[in-house]
Amino acid sequence: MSNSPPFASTPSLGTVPAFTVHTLAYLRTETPFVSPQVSLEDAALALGQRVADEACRYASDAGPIDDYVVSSTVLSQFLADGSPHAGYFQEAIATRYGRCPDWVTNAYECTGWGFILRYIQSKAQFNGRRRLLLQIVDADIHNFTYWLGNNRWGKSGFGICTLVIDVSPEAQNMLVIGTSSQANALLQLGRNLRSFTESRPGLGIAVPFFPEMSRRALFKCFDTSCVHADHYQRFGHSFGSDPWLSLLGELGAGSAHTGSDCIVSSLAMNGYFSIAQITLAPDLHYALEGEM
Amino acid sequence: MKNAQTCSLLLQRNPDYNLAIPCSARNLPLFETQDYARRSVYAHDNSTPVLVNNQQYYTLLSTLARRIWDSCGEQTLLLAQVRMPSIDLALPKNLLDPRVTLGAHLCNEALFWAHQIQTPVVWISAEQIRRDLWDGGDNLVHIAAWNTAQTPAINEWFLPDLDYFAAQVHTSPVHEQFTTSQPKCTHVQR
Repeated sequence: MSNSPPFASTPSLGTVPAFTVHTLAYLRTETPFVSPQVSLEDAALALGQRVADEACRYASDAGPIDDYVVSSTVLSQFLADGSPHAGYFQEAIATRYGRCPDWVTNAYECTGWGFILRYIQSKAQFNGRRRLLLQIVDADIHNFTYWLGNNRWGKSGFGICTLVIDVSPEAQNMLVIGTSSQANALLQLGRNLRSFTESRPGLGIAVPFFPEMSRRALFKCFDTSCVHADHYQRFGHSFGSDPWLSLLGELGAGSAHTGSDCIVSSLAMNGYFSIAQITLAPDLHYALEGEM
Repeated sequence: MKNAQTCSLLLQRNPDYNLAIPCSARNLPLFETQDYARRSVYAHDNSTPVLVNNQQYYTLLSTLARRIWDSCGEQTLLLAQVRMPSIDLALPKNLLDPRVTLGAHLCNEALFWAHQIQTPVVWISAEQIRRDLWDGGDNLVHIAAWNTAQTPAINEWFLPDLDYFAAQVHTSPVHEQFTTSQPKCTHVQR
């Protein structure tokens, strides 16, 4: 695929928050997630229950949820293909949390959260602000070697990120989604981060967790003075959860604050990228590994 | 409730009929002996043939999207249920368009839009197309469309483009949720 411009105009700094984060939590999952003897049905139920536990813990007090979406990179195809096992996964979530996800996607890999925000914002155009429960679920019930890590993204980190985000229709310039060839993906993410951040000076920037060589290549493309601290060594590449883990790291260190804005970004191995300006609500609830 | 036009199409032939095409192309790499064991845990019998590889699958989806916009108008929203992921194969650019949403369990989203807007909305279930012996599925594509002209029937939009799959119209109960007065929604969206 040739390089192409992003599917949104070059953004400028807006005044209305488009994406206000009210809840941000991450929990690492075990590797392997289930033992090889576990049946596919039981594996689907086990992952569904874990996802539901996180939703219960962090979204039950979040008020009415308009949209509930699960996004993933490594989620087994059997849990997102309309099969009975996909149904077990859904039912396990519904049984424990009281509601199953409206839809699930592993089509957009690590950038799924950006595509979901774009979609929810299009719904908000009609009914006004929508409250989204988004869970980024990356645990491989098959324990395939490929997902444990490779020279593309380094070592992997598996877990469940739970986000409650208010999506407002007014600000249309807070999200950029684009695509490029795999070979140029890092460069294109960097160039788009440059154009996105130039009009947003001083905002913290969360980038994907990559090995040092990839991080250095990305950093040649834009002013990195506001980039968050790297947590690759601690968490590994955690797929679509990376920028949110990065934010949790900053909040824990006291270098990001509720009520402030920052920039989050992700890159998919097939060359898609998502960049967004998000606002941390003044009453933000956040937790890393269960610790508030 | 608005009723949908619906159809189901059975794909019967590889689009590159008579050419040797690896159906396992771009599937998840198996690095270790244990990976083969992990995969075999979920092996299942399925006599439905594997007709396409991932590249051909993406081409099919992209072609359907193009046909929908040609037939129903460029503003048409498309919600497509797909089986993912594929490794090292990017989606065609038109499937990343804001008018397209890819995922699983998208029928309620399609119903939301069908009620919300007056312009066409199309839902495609393409996740049952087999691309690997590991896959379940029956090679059926289900389609529902709202806010579209009643004629021509929607199967007539697609059949010419699917000639190379030897696609046939198939009777299927999967569309009941779109044509009965009580949608099978798990919750009500506002």
